[in-house]
Amino acid sequence: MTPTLFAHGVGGRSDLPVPFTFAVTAAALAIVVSFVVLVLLWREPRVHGSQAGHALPKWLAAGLDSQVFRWFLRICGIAGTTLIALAAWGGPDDALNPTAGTVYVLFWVGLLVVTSLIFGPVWRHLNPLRTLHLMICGAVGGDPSSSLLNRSLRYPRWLGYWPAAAWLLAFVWLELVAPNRDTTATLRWWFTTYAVVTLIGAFTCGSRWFSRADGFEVYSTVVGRLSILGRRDDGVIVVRSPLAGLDSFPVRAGVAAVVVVLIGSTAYDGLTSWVPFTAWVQASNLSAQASGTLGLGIAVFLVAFIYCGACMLAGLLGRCKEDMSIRPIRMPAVFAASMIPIAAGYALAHYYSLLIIVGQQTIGSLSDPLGTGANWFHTAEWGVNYGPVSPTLTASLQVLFVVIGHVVAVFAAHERAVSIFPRRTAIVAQIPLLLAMVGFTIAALLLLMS
Amino acid sequence: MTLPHPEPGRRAPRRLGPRGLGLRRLGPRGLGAALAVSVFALGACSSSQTTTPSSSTPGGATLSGSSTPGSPDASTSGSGSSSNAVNTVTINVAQANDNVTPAPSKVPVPLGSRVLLTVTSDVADQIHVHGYDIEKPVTAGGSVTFDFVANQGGLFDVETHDTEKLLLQLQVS
Repeated sequence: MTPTLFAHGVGGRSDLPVPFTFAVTAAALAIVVSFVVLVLLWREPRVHGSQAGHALPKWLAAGLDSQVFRWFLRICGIAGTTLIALAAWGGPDDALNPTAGTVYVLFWVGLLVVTSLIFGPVWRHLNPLRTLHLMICGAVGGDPSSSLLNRSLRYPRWLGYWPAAAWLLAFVWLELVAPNRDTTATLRWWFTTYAVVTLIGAFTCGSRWFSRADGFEVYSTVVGRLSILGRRDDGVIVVRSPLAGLDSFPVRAGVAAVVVVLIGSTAYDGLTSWVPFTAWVQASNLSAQASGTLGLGIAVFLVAFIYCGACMLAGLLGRCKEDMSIRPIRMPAVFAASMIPIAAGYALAHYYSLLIIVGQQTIGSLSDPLGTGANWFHTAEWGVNYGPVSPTLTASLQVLFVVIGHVVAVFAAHERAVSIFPRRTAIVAQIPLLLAMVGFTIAALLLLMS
Repeated sequence: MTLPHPEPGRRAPRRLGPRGLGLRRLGPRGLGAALAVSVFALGACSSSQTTTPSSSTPGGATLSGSSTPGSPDASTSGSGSSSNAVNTVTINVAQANDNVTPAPSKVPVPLGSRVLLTVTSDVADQIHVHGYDIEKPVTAGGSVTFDFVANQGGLFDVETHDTEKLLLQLQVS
């Protein structure tokens, strides 16, 4: 008899519906703030993100930039990965195996979203594949930033973040749709493929592959733009407003695809916990994978359609300033940074209770990766504190994350609009995107209410 | 491509705007103010929520004696014999011919209630109550009963493993 695989640490419990009054208050607030921004705010660009911010004290900045600290982070990344690899290859595939919980909760939410939100793009400093690449390049005497095979090979500019968007789509498919997605066998297979492809890419194109094509690094970088820590154009580490971080985020090909995938997938995940939808899906004759793939695809496509449509309409209505003619087709990339807070707010609202509950469970089971009853880090007896996920607190935080994300997004989009559009048209050009954002936020609140 | 910014020394000329009408424009600093307002408003909203009396009924009261059409056959009854009275929520659900009857829906369960969940199936399967992580096998044409106390709040899926069907959601609050 084959062992029953139930690594159900991930998913299955969802939050209670957000009370109606919460959702209505939040929606009203989102709409009011949006239009206040439109009518009353600054009319000339004033964030100047790439030059903004207060420099950190010299000793602190020097410490953060020191080789010692860099290598400390790299070693942490390698140690953590080794621990998970041990559990994935050596541990029994049961509910107490920490692999799935670490990948989908501690890493995907805790590290890539929460830690990046606080400290900036942390994953690029922890990424064990980057470290491996660096060490191999050092061993053979190559320059990590260029190709090891042929010096003339470079990461193509037109490719931008597209490979990262594709990888993120593949990963959310794994997370939300794939069969046996919580078994160690699936995760081993998946991450081995990922590591091989990423290393081949890095050896071919240089370390830029990590910052452009590695979905995890790009996710961390994108969310890290909301951190109050950042690096100014002159290289100084500064404390700055999230608006400055968003404003200085370079516009690259595929950046819109990254935020669209993140928003669409979270929306789809919210939709699947809505019973009438699930009942409708299983009453149809589609398999779970077919309907999941279709549902995820439709959600991402809808978000892409609404967002890109609104941006292009903005481009048509706004008519760029003479000194920067940007065709409407480029507008989704130009405004993509302003969607980052919405994506992050969605993700936090959606994963908050999962992070608290499964995160604590996983930290407990990390002490025993091999399933031998060991208690290496003495975390096994910590247990799970359900205090932070009381219904009222959870609902308040969820609504708060969505509304804060919306408000920051509206401010960032406003700054971008007044930077690229002439005064005359800057207001009217913002209306389509503003309506799209209000629509996304109300949809998010409806999903939280269902 | 990064967007070009006006150089710091070359600021665009200020014009008279709505300021003349008595309206003041918010700067980026207004972001902080707007966030503070939203936090305050939501905080006020949440605190008003917590002061409303809890809607859980004392033991002995029947919450939903007659099951509404379309929802799983669930009934709640009180056993009010002890001082910390415990409600019992009885739920029956069946899967047959690849269909779930009654159709999946949310079943309200007061926090702390005893849940008696019976699943009938025409095929052999594993039934799993998520969150509480209880899993039991059911034989073809047989039934299986879960008996547990719903002591954790939230929405919990009850699923079949082989046919991958959602049977119902327990809404524990």
